[in-house]
Amino acid sequence: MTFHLQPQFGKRKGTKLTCTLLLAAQFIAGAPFLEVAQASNPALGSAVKTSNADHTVTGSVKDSEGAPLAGVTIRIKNSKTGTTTKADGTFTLNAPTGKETLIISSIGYKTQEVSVADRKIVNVILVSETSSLDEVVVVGYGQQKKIHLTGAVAQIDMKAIEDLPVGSLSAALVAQQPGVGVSGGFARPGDPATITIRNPSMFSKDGGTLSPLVVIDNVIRSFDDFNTMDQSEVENISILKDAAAAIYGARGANGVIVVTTKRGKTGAPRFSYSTSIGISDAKLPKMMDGYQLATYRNDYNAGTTNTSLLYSQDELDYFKTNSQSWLEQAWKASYTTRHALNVSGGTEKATYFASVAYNQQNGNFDKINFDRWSFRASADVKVSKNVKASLGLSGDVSTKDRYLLKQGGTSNEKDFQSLLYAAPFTPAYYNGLPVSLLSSGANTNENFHFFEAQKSNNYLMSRDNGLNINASLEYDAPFLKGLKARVTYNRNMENSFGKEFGTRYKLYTFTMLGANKHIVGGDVRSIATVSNSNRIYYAPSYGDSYQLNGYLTYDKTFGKHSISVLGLFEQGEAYSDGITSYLDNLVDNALDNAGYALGGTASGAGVGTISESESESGRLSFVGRINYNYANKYLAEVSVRRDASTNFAPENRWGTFPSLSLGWVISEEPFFKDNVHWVDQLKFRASVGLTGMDNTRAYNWLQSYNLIQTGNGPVFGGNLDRAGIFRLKNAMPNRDLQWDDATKLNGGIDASFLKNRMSLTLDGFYDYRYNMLTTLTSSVPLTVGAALPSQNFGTVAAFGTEISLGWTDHINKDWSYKVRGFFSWSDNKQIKVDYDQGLKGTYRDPNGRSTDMGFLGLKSMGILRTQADLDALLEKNPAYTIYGQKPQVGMVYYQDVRGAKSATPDANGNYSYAEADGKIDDNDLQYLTNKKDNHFGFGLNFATTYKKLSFSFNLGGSFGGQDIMESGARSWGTSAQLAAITNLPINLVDHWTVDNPNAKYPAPAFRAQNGLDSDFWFVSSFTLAVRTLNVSYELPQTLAQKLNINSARVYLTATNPLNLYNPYSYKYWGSTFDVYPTLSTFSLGLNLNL
Amino acid sequence: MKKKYILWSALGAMLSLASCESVLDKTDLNAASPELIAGDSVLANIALNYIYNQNLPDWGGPTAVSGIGGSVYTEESYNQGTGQNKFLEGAVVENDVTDFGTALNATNNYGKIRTINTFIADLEKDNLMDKGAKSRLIAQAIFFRAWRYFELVKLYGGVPMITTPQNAVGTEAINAAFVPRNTTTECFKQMSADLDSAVKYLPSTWITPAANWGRITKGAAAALKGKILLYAASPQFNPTNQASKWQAAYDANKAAYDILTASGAKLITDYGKIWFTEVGNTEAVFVTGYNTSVGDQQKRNSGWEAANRPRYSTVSGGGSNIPSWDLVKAYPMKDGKKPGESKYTYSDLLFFKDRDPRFEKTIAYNGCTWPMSNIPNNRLWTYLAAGKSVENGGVNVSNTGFYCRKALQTSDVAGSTLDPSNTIFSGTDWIEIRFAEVMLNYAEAAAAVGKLDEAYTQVINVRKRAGIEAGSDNLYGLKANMSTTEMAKAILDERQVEFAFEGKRFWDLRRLRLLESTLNGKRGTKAVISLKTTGVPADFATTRDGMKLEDVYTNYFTIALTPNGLMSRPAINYLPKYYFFALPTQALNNNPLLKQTNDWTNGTFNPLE
Repeated sequence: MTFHLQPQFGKRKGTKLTCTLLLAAQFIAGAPFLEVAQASNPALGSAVKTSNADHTVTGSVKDSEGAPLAGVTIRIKNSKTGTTTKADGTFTLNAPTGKETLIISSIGYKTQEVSVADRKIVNVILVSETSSLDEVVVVGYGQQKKIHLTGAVAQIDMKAIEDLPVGSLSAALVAQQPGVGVSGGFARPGDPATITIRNPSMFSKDGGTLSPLVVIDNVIRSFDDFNTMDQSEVENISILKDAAAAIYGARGANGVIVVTTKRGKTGAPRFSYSTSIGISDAKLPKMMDGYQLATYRNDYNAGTTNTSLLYSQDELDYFKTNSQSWLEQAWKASYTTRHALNVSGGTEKATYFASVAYNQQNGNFDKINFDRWSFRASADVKVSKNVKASLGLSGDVSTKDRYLLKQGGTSNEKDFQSLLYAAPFTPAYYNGLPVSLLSSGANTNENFHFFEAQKSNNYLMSRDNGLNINASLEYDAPFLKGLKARVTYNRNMENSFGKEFGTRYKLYTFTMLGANKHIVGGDVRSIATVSNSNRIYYAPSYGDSYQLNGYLTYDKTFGKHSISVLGLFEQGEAYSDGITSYLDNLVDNALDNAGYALGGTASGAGVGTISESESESGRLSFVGRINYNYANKYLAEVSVRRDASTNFAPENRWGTFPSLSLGWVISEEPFFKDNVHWVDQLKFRASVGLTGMDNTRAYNWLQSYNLIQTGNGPVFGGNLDRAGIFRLKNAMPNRDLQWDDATKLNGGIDASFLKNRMSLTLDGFYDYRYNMLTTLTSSVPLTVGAALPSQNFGTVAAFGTEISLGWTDHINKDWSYKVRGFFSWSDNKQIKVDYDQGLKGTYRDPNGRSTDMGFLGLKSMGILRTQADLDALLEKNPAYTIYGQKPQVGMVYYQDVRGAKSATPDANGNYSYAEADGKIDDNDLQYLTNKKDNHFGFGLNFATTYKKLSFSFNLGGSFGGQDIMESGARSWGTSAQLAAITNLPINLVDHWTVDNPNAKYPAPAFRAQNGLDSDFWFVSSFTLAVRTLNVSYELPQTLAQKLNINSARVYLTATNPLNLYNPYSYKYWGSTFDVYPTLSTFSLGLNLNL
Repeated sequence: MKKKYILWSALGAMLSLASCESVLDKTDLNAASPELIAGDSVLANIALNYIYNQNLPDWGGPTAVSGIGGSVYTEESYNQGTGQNKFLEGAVVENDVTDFGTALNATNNYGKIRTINTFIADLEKDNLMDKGAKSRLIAQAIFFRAWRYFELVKLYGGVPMITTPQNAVGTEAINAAFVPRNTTTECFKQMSADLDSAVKYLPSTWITPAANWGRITKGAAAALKGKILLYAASPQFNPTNQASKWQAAYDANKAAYDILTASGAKLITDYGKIWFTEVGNTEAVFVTGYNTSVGDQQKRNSGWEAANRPRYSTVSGGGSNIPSWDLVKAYPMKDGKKPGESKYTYSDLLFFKDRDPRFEKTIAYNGCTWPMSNIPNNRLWTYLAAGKSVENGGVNVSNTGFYCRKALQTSDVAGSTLDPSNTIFSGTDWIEIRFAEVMLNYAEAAAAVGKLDEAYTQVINVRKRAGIEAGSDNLYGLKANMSTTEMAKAILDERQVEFAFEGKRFWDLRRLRLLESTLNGKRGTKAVISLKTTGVPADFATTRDGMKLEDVYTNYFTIALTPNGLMSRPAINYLPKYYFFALPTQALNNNPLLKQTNDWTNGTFNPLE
C-alpha cells in the first residue's frame, strides 16, 4: 500500500461535523483521507506571478460534480506540447504566449477547448459524454460498450434517483424504464417495493417468485439484499430484459438486475455527503361518520322484528354531534431522514472507496419505525505488474418496529384496519376508560383497542444484520496479451432477530344510554381482560452462503476484428437455520423480557414452544461466452451456461442454457454514413436465448413428513395437552421435475438522430416459456386430495413492446433540458394450461387466451328502484332469482345470459350452455372487459437545468384494464364485518331507501346479492401520477469555494406528490382503502462535495 | 515471486473446490422420510395422531361445511340470524353443499382421506414393525376412513371411493385418477368392510386409559358400523323399506351392543352428569377429547361452554343454541307421557312443572336455579318488565327466554376445572356416540325387524336412567303393545329429548325423510313471560330469589306464545331434493366423469342405487 499520511489534518478549515464523519469513514475504509486537505488547495493556490517570457498556466480539471480528474490530457492546440493532470486534478503547463488555446480531453468526457487569454489559472470542468461510443454498459459477468450491446439492457439513470427518500432501492426505480414494473414501497416504513420485468408468469404455488434475479458485483444475491442498498453506494444498475439474462441460465427467466457498486477512482480523495429530511403523509380514506353509519345500519336492519337492533332517533341525533374517527386520532405526519456519506480516491497503485448511509423513517402511527445503516468499503490494489487484488466489505443493520395486534390473526394491517373500521359512534375512551368495541355476542374474550395496545408498548420488531465479504484476485497473463484470470470469493452472512411482545389490557363495557342502548355511557357493566397474545416471542435466525467464481477472459483485437472470450465456473452453497420460540402468560405490567413471563398456567402446565427450521442448498455452474465484433459494425455474442441445483433429483439436476445475439450497426456502413446525415447512430439487434426458472420448493422429489409438531394434535386422556403429530409435508413426490424453460426472443433498434439530440430505443419481445413448473389444480381430479408437487407442464408465450424516445437539447448556454417518454405494452397467451376439463369450449376455457382473460362478473342492469321495476322484471321473468334469492326493490339485478352447462360434451368435446333460464347464478358470469389488468404503461421523465437550478419530474401511468370497488366498499365485505359493526366508506351514504329511490348505490339489506362482482361497481383503471419530483440548486462555485468545499447543492424532492387522475370518491390512490395508504413524501436535502 | 505463489495457490484452491460435486450433496433437513415413520410404531403413532385430529368431530357433532345440521336447522332452536338461510328457505343451489370439495385441497374431505390412505399404504409397505402394532395402527386409520366416507355419503349418496393414495404426476397417472361416483350401495359396502376390519384388530379397551382415553376401540368401530347400517336401512337410503337392510342394521347394532356391554359400557346414572366424566366414562363410545390448556400449541378447548352461556359478560357466553318453545313442549311429563296424556296436569304457564327430569338438565328457563359463576343458588330471570327484558339490563338477552344448559359446567359439577371468567378454556369432551345412542339404534333396528320386546327393553332402560317414573306397568310411560311404526315414532321422540342439542335431530329427521312433514311451514315459537302490571310487590326484583317458583309464575307472571325469529324471512321450506345434495359445480367441471345427483340440474346419478 502506498498511501502516505500527511499530518496536516488540523489545518483543514472544515466544520466539526465533517471532521467527525471523516474519521468515521476513515475507520471503515481503513484508508487515510488526509489528502482531502491537499485536494482542494490547488484551486486556491495562488499562482506565483513570474516575469518569465513563458507564461505558466496552472489549474485544475474537475468533473461536473466537482471531483478532480486525474490523467486528463491537456494539449496546446496546433502543437505537440502537453501534459496530463495529476492525481489531484491539477496541472501546470508552459504556454509560450499566453494566447494559446488548450485542448482538454479525457476518455468519457466531451473534449473542450479553452483559450488561455493571459490567465495564469485555468480551471476547467469536463462534462461527461453521454452518447459517446465509449459509454459502457454493465452486463452479466462483465461490461460492454453500449455500441456493442446486442441485448435489451435497460440502464437506470443513477443521477435521477440519487436524491429520492425511499426506504428500499426498488422503490427508486418507479417510472424509470419501460418493461420494469415497480409496485409498493411507498407505504408502511420498511416494506420494500417489488420489481417485475416484462410481465412474467408463474404457475407453481410451492415456492418461486416473479421477481428478477439480483446480481451484485457478479454475485447472485437475494432481492432483499438489493433493497437494503442505498443509492449512494451503487455505481450502476442494469436490467437484463431479454436473452442477455441467459448467462444466468436456470434462474434468469424473470430477467436479471445487475448491480455494480462504487469502487475507488484514481485521484485525490473525493468526499461526498448527502442528507435529507422529509415529511410523509397521506390522504386518508373517507369513511362514514357515526350518524351515517347508524343510518346505514338501520336501513340494513329495516326488516327486523328485533327493534333493539335499530338506532333510535335520540341516538341518531346524538351521533350527529358525537362522532369520531379513531384513525384520524391516531394518524399523523411522519418523517424520513437520510444521511449518506462516501469517500473515494487512490493512486494508480491502489484505490479505495467507503460509504455509510443511514435511512430512517417513522410511521404515521407512533412507535412504527424503520431505520437502516448500510455500509460498504473496498480497496483495489495493484499487487504487482500483473496482479490486482481487491477486497470489499459491506453490510447493513436494520431495525423495523411495528405493532403487535394479535387478536383475530396478525396481519400487518391490523393497526390501520382496527382504527379505520372502528365504529365512529364509539369513542375510544369514556370517562377515561377504554371502551370495548365489541357489540355483537361473540363468544370470545378478545377484542381490539388500538390505543390500549399502543399504550402497552406491544410490538413486533425485527433487527437484521447482513455482512458481505468479497475478495478477488486478478492475474493479467504476461505471456499472452489480453488473457486474464480471476478468482472471486464472496461470503454472505445474515442474522435476523425477531421479537414480539404482547400483553393484556382491560376494556370496559357500560350499561349504555339511549332508547336502544347504543350510546356509550352509564355505569361500568363489566370489565374484560383482553389478551393481545399475552406472550413474548422470539424468532432468531441466521443464514450463511458463499459463492466462488473462477474466470478466464481473453480479449484480442486484430485488424478490424475484435473478440472477447469468457469462461467461468461458479459454485455456491447456502445454509440457514432459525428457531421460533415463545413464552406465554406475562405478569401484569410486564416489561418486554422473558423474565416477566411465567411460562405456565395456573395448573402448572408449561406454555411455550421452540421449533427449528433448517435448510441447505447448493448449486454449480459453468459458463462460456464469446463476443465478436467487426469494425464496430457487425456484432455477435454466443453464450452457454450449464447449471445444477439441489432443488431437483440428482439425475435431473443439470440444465444447459445457450444464447445467441446479433447486432448490425448500419450507421457505420459507408453507404449509410455518407448519405443519411441526420442519423448519428442506428443499430439493429436481435437475440435469442434459453433461460429457466427453478420456481419450486426444494426436495419436491422426495415424499416426506414434517417433523413433530403440536398445535394440530388430538387430545387423549381427558385433559392432557395436545399430542404431537407428523404430517405429510410432501404428499406426492415428483422425481422427474426439471427446470422450466424459457426461450427469449428480442428484436430491437437503438438510434440517435439530429446530432445525438434525439434518441430512440425500440424493443419487441417474445418469451416462450414451456415445461413451466406448474402446480396443477384444475386438470387433476380433486379426489386426489393433496397439494400437488410442481410438474413441468404449462406453456405461455409472453410478448410486448417497449418504446423509449428522448430529446436532449439546450435553449442557450445556461439552459438545457432533457425529456424522455416511454411506452410499453405486454400481454401473453396460454398455450398449454391447467384448466377444468368440464369447461372445455366454454367462455371460461383459457386455452389460447391470455392469463388475463378480462374482468369476470355479472352484467348488471341497475337497481330495482321501484315496485314497478320489480313487477316489470317478474312479469318478463317470473322465476327470476339471484343465487336462489328472489329479487326485491332496492337490489341490484343482473342480466340473465345462460342456463345450466351441459352435463356431457358435444362430439368435439366442447361443453355448451342452455338458454337463459331466468336464474342468475355462476352460469351468468361473463368476461365483461377484454382485460382486467393494465397492460399499457407509459412514463415521462423531464429534467431541465437553468444555470445552477435544476428541475425534474417523473410521470407514470397505465391503462387498458378494469378496476372495481373493493368488496368492502360495496357493503360489508364479510358477515364478520357486519356483525362487528365495522365502518364503511363514504360512497355508500347515498344508498337506496324507500325515500331515496334514485340513490347511486343499492339498499344495504341485500348485501350478498349487491356485492357480487359486476360492472355496477366498475371504476376506471387509468392511472396517471407524478411519481417523483426534484428541484435542486447548486451553490455558485465562488460561494462554494468560500465555504471551502468543491460543490454544494440543495434540493427538494417529492415522491408521489400528485395523483392526476382519481376515479374514487373515498380514497386517493388506487391501492385498497383498508391498508396503510400510499404516502406522499416531501423532503429537503443537501449534498456536499469536499 | 511471493505474489505469484499467492496467486497460484488461490487458483489451485479454486480448482480443488470446483472439482467437487459434493456441493450438490444436500438433504431436506426439515423433514422425516416415510420409511422412517412407517418402520417405527412410536413414530407411526405420532403420524396417526394427525389423522385423529383431522377427523374427530367437533363439539356439537359433525355439521357439513355449510354448517347444516346444527340446532337451528330443526325446531330445537330457530334461526335467529338476520340473514338468509338457504337450507331453511328452499333456496339451496348446486354450489351450496361443498363438502365434496371444490378444489384440490390437503385438508378437505378427500385431503383427509388421502392422509389416511397414505398412512395405510406406507405402513403396509413396511416390513420392520411388529405385526400386531401395525394392524392396530391401520385399524384406527381405517375406522376414520369409514367415518369420513359416511359424512360424505350422508350428504350426497355415492361418491368416488378412493382407498389408495392416487398418484397425479404425469399425464398417465392423472388420467387414471379420474374416477366416477361409486354407487351408494358400493360405498356402504366399503364402509362396512372397513369397519369389520377395524372391529377385528382393535382392542376392547386400550391399556393405560389415562393416556389413551379417546382412542377408537373395538366397540366404537362396531357402534359406527351399526349407525351406518341404520342409515342404510332408513327411508333416506331405503325408501322401499327392504327388509334385508333392516336385518343388516339389526345385526350390526346388536353386535355393537353386545361388544360394548362385554367391555363394560353402561349408562351413567345421572343424566345431568354424562359430560363430566372423561377418562373411563362408561357411556362414552366415540369421544373427541378437549383440554383446559391455554397455550396456543397445547390447547384444544371446547367452544361449547362459552358459546352457550348467557351473554352476560360475567359469564362471558355467546348465548347460542337457544331452545325454542317447541322443544320445551316436546318433553314428556314425569311419568313419561306427553303433556295432556299424562296424569300430571300441564299448563303453558307452569310449563316446568312435573316434567321429564331431562328437561331441567337441558333447558334453563326464567326463574330456574342455575348455579353459575360460583353462585350456588343463582337464579336465572329472563322475564319482561314493562315490555323490556330484565335480563342483563335488557342488552344481549335470550331471544326466547330460554338457554341451553346441556353439558355446561356449572359450579355444582364435582371437580370442575372451569374458571368462570375464562370459559373459553373449557375442556369438556364431546361424546359423538353415547352408549344411549347405541341402545336406541339397536331398539330402532329391532323394532323394524319385529323384535319389539328388545326395542322396549332398550327404550325403557334409557327412560329409567332419565328418571322417569316406572309406572304401574313398568313401561316408564311407554304405550304397551306398540306396533313397529308406533315404536319407531316413540324412539324418534325419545331421541329428540335424549339427544337435544347433540346434533342428532336434523340428521334423524333427514334419514327418516321427515324434514318436510315435521318442519315445513314453521317459524318457531317463543314464550314471552311478562311481569304483571298490577299486584306485584314493589320489591319483587330483590325478593324473587327467595320465592317458590310455582307461586311466582301463578301470581306475578303471564305467558304469551308468539312467533319467534325474523318475520321478514320466509317460513321453513325444506325441499324433497335435499335428501341428497348436489355435487358442487366446480367438482363437476373438474371431473367430467362425475354425474350430478338426480333432481338437481342435469342430474343423472341415482343415489338410491
